[in-house]
Amino acid sequence: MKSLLLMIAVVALACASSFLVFYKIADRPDVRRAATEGNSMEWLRAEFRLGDSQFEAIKKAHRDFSVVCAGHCRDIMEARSTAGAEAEVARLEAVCVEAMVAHFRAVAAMMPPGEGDRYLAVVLPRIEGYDHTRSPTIGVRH
Amino acid sequence: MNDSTHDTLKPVLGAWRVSPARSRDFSTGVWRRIEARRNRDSWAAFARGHPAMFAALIVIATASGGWVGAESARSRVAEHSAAMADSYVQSMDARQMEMP
Repeated sequence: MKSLLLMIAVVALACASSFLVFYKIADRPDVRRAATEGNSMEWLRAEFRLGDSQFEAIKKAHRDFSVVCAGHCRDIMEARSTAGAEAEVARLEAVCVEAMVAHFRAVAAMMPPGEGDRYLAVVLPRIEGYDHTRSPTIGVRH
Repeated sequence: MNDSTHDTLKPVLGAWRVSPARSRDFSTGVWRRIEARRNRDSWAAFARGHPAMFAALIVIATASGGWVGAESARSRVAEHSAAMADSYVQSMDARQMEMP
């Protein structure tokens, strides 16, 4: 009986050790850290394995796009506050989507081979999946 | 066995004397075997007695532990990553922004 319990203990120890080793190997602490800090640019760098020059170029592209984005935001807000401007809101939103897709494609082109496609597979469905009834949130630091 | 064979063997067997050489470590050997029997229930002996089962259990435990560990880490990272991707896209989506 004692031997059997010891054997179970040894097997459990092997299982637990293997769990920890493989957890450590598969873990991405840089991605988790960026997520915990809510830092989207650090997340982008970690998730898509950006080199320094790629990271700087993408940061600049984001800064430039944020100006365009702010303009779209202002136009959409103004149109939304105007009664009977649904068609204009829809048009402005389409413009916004078009600009975002173009921006994301430009960013993807700056990424390492293979990562750009993965990036587009992550971001593009999120534009399409926009829900108009969801409350707007801006909780990301650039 | 007939009577003539029996008569022949009888004196031979009567004269047969066994005189084994004295073993110096006879007593030690006996005690060693007693100890081995006593220790047969020890954990190491148990494992040695069932090598295939023990090896299979270790392999299964290591493989399943490793798989669960890797999957746990991957799913945790994927969860964080998905949340960040949502925030990242929202931060650039003018449709989801509010004027300050």
